Amino acid sequence: MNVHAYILKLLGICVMVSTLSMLPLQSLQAEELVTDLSDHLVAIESNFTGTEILLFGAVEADSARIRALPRDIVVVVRGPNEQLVVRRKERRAGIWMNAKAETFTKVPSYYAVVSTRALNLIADDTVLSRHEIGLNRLKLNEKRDKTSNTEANFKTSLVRLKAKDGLYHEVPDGVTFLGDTLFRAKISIPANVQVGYYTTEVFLFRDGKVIHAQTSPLYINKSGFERFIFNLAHRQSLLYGILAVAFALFAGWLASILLRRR
Amino acid sequence: MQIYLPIAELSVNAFIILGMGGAVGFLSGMFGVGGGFLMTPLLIFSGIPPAVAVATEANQVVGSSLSGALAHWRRGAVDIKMGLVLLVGGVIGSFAGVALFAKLRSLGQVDLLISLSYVLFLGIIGGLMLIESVRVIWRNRTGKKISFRKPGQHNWIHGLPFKMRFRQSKLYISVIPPIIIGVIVGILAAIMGVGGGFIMVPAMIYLLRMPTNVVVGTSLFQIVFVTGLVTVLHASQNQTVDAVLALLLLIGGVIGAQFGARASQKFSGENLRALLAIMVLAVCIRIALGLLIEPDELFSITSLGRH
Repeated sequence: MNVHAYILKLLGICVMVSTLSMLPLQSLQAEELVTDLSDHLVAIESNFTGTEILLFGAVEADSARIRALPRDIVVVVRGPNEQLVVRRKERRAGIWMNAKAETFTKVPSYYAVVSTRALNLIADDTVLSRHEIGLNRLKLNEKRDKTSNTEANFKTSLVRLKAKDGLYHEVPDGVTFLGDTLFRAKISIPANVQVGYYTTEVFLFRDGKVIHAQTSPLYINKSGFERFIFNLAHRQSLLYGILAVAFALFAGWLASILLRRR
Repeated sequence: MQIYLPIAELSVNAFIILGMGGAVGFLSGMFGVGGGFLMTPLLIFSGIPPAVAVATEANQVVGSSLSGALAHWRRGAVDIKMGLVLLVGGVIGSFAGVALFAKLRSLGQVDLLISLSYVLFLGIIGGLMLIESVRVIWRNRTGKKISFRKPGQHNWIHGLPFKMRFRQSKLYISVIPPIIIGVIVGILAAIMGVGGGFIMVPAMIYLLRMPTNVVVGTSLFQIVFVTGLVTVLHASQNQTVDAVLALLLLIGGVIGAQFGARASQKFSGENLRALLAIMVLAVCIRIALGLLIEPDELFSITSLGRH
């Protein structure tokens, strides 16, 4: 009996494994994404105005008939998550001051969606929401404050302000097909991005469904004198403060020496 | 030439910053004032985050007041004993001010604290200066003589305990008033990024009755140490000191002060003071309007770091 049960269980696992492995195999045979980034390691000079990374790829299909079918590519780039507080000014005793605040605990510091056409033409809202594709579909883990108010829309303001800083954007025509299989996408990275690990997700859509997806990492680093100062100020803040004072004292002393000679 | 300020985290034109430092340096050389109370608002108006503007300006004042203090030192116009007593208060005030600053920063109210402090102090100082200079100009025209205070007069301060002898100032007074003055100046340095000379000098003359020849030197002596401490405290607690910005401002300021000092010899002192008063009041009104008029953008975002 024990042996029987064991064999049955083993069989069950075998069936499960084979069905599981068959699913991606099927789509693999139909169409498959092959993508790469121009650079997996981007070093931004802090005084630089920003940079652009190029993502290129191909949709591999086994027949010319499938290759000719309409398809869409969506590229989503996300920066490391951060915790953010959104504040709203109100008039209190005649003065405009920060009054209400809401905290969001899982906010991508950078977020870009680049696609072949407008997102609502590619898929419906439920599909896009599941993959968090689109600025208005981001889940930011809102932590409601006691002072908060649902009417004042903190979340849309967060997205709007991030977009104003160039850190969030949607480019509905940023992916261009070169022929039937090759495509490329340009992703702009402004100078004020956070350093760290970014993820690049590429989705292949057909008839409103995701039929293949690929994720690749991207590391963004900053270098240069300004970055050195920033790191020193945040990691060795006491030493930095003492050095800042020493520099100011030296400059003041130098000035008094130079001016006395005159 | 664009330069990226690492702590303020924005790109600025280096020549504009040098020019701003030069303009304020010119004014401080011309009027013999520190200039911090003009520089900090100017930085805020040009888009530097207020918390960074305050801490960075404190850093600049360290340098600019040192060259002034050294000049007075060489002439023997520094009462070191009085300076040290003021400094005791200054240290207490700096710690208290930076702690208050950090607390309000976490509550998102530090910009309001800075603006309100500026409106209050610039309003009072500018108003008093304007009244004073208009009175003097008026008296000069009508030919009346101004009555100066009589030295050696006693006031309530001489009744306080813990007296100490200050030889250079020819005073025998309680240490409580200078310590309190020091505390106030330390708090102002921490939350406004100013040396505080505009409070300390009148207080030393009118309250402590120190002889005028040692007042400026002693005040500068104390300012060097207090702003130095404030810079270190801001750097370690709030990470808001932008050394690159401070250095640019210092260079501009030193050059500007030279021209300012020369220019001041060509104008009458009273007209200059009225001009400075008007400028101070203009800055005060500009900050006040920022608080009273509904801003275009009501929302703001602040990162609390990685999560």
